[in-house]
Amino acid sequence: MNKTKSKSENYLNDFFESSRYTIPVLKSDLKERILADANEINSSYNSIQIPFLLNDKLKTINGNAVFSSITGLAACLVLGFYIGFTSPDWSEPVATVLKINQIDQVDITDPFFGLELILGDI
Amino acid sequence: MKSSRKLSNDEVEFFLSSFDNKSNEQTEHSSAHFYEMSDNSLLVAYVKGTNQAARVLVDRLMPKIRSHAYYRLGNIDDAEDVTQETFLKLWKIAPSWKKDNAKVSTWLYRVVINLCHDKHRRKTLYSLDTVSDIVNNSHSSIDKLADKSRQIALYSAMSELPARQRLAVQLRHIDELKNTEIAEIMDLSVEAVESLIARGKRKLIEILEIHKSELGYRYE
Repeated sequence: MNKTKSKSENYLNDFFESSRYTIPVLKSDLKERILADANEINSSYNSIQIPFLLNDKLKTINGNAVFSSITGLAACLVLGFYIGFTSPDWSEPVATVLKINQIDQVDITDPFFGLELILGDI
Repeated sequence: MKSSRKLSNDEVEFFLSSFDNKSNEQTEHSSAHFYEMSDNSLLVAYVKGTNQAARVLVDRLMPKIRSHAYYRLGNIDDAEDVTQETFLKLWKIAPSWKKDNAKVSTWLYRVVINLCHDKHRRKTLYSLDTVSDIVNNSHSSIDKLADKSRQIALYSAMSELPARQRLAVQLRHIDELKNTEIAEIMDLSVEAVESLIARGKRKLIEILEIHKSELGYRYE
């Protein structure tokens, strides 16, 4: 029984071996075609990857810019309120130099306000 | 075949950076190192823009995939189209390839099996005449003729097997894969693969017994 099985196995192995030995002709350009595909796809990855990288950098820059602008705005707001409610010591000498320490009382409800200035020129 | 040692991603990075910095002469010498890299590491190198890695990968795996497609389709033109398409899918999936994924060769076998299956569905059974376009490495012309006759007879017999048995037998005895690899490719247990192969071989022996005398076998 085992002997018969072994013979049958050998018989079948002959067929397998023959099939393995019988190699199809390789068309010379198959490898080149496959490598051309590889190059083409790889170059498309690179051309796509660069904008992605730039995009990442822009996102980083954008993130930083938003943070900076919000911080700056908040700082200006706080400083503005501070200057508005508590007049700092250095504001007086600056106002003296610029001669803006006197505020003229102007009646802007007068219908002829400023007319003399215009007529004076004529 | 040369043995392939698995390199870690760091090693791949280091190797690629040193590769970029070398002169042409040194580069030619160091390209031999690609042959020491695993398939997965080569794929990582390919994605990083090293075309030499793709070349080595093709040298290593293309003959197996092409041979499988040929034995499944029986037509060299179809087999080569399917091989090209299989590798095209590999290049496309390469950037999202994870090192925990299946082996590259296993993945390629799965793809080529599916593509051959699709091609088969679109066509009728392959003609045995197409198998004549072959190169044979046998010693004498008598051997060549005998091998060719046996190959045609085996194709004919295998086409009578159920699809899974046929695939398992082909992967084991023509592609010479291990049962564990076949189990992974076919998504079966090793025991199930062994059973498929055993049943397939029994049926093949039955079918081929009829052609024994035609094929020059005299023993019982």
